[in-house]
Amino acid sequence: MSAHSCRHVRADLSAYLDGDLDAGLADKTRAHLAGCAACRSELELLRLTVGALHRLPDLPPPAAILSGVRARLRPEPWHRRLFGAPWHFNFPLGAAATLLVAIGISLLLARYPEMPKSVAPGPILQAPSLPAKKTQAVAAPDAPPAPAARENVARRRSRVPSAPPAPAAEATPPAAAPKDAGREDASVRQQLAAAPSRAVIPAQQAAQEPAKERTVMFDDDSAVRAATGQSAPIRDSVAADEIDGAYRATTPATARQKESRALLEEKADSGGARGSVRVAEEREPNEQVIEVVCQLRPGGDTASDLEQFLRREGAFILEVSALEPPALREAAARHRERLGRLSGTSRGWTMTVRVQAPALARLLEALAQRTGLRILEQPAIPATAESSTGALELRLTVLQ
Amino acid sequence: MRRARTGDQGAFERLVLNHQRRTFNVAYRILGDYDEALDLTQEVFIQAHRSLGQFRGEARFGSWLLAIAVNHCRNRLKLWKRRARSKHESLSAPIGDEGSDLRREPPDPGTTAVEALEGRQLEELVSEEMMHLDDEFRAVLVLRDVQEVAYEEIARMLELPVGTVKSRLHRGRTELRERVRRRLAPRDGGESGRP
Repeated sequence: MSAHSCRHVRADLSAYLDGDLDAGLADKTRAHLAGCAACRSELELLRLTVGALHRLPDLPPPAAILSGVRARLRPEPWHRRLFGAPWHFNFPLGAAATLLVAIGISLLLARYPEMPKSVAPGPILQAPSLPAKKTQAVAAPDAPPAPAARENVARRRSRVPSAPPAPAAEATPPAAAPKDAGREDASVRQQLAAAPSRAVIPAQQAAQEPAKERTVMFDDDSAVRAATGQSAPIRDSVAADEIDGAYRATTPATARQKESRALLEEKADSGGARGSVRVAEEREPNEQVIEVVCQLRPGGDTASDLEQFLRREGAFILEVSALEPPALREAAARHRERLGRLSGTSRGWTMTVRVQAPALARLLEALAQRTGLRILEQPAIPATAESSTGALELRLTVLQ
Repeated sequence: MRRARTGDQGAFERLVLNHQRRTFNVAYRILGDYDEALDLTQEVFIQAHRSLGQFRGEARFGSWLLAIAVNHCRNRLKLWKRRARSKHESLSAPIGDEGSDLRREPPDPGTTAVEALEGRQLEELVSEEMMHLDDEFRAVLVLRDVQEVAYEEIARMLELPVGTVKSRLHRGRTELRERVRRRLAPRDGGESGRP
């Protein structure tokens, strides 16, 4: 075989592979291949290459596609522009509910003129269905003005004393809480106490709250126990449904809320509050990304242990960040084509795993035990996801 | 589709849900960047929403969307070139960064290139090398070999004759094969695999 002939044959191998060569050229190519091992090898390489292209998997589409399109197509409703609240219901139900809330607020203000006006539009600190002791631990009773609610909670948490408070503390605000704030909010608290659980915002509105707005916090053992007065971990003494109904701040993802999250992360970095769990993305129609930030217990599991544990639990590793330990990098390489996003972080390493929705609660609980953290609130998983086999992505960031 | 054209927002959102996976993945494979692909996919749907009235139904809605997506990708790639951006870095960086053995590991000298390829992360290699192909070749490869779109549909999307589509496909595959082969060549052959 001449080199010239080989070069031409190799240029036509793709068409030959697809049967796109005309009959005469195909015969010549076939004859050449029969006598040329090098070109046969090239054909085989091409076949493998094309086969690999066919096998490249689709990435799951990010939920942000729909939410972004929706946001750009739908003009901001007047109440959102006005209050910045997460009113995601449709007209006319939304408008009616907004009107009712506005009337209610007006009446409240008329009846309790001393109530701070910043409370009116909404922080929306949801009434807990937990025992009072736990509620006390998660949020101080002096509900702060809404946008800063989470930030305040995070700040307060970082100040939780190591000594457990007296059991009687249930009815009194923590010492660290500003006294004037507690006085100002007294009437609001009375209203909250009189209202049925979760009655601060309409149930429907709560259901339509974008999942990504909900943030769940972790604390370290001592802080949680100190705050709750419990000697045992919360999960050992509180039923799962109670945890699911835990105190929840349902403020919108405003810039201030993002600041609060950043604060929390800062604290996580500095060893204060050590992590968080939140629904990071809402996917269609029963998929969500649960973001977990945690820290391995010193002297406990290694990153590799954690990976093996997640595998045993049936989680499928989708991605590992750039700064992961070598063992996880290998895992990432094995599943590289399924990677959605290779997210590097200066704080540690991130691993995204896919888990079945029904297993999420169990997995989070086990994870919390391994990382020495306590889940104060489970992320709200839509009923559709819990009742189906829909997969969830768990984006696990382990702080270093 | 009809309801979406009459302004039914819910119907349009269902169209987004039905077509976002393919649109996003085409953008991702052509651009090689997750965030850019996400952004571009949103743009595609926004433009589709604005242009629904122009959709005549000659092609399938999915193909129409893909045509918009490919056009947007081309424009963005041109923009990047103007700005001398190298978008493939974000895809390959985690594995190919300093200290990674995966990229630089030479094949076992006792094996042929094909055998070595079988033993390696074949899809990973192909995916990385695809990002170095000419943009026009890559678009055709993504549509035909990754998404398995018919030649005729690709020709309509790209407004090219079918023969040109096939020609680009074959040339793209051939170049890709060469890149894969070079990556698998032993290091003492003087080829590190990166262009």
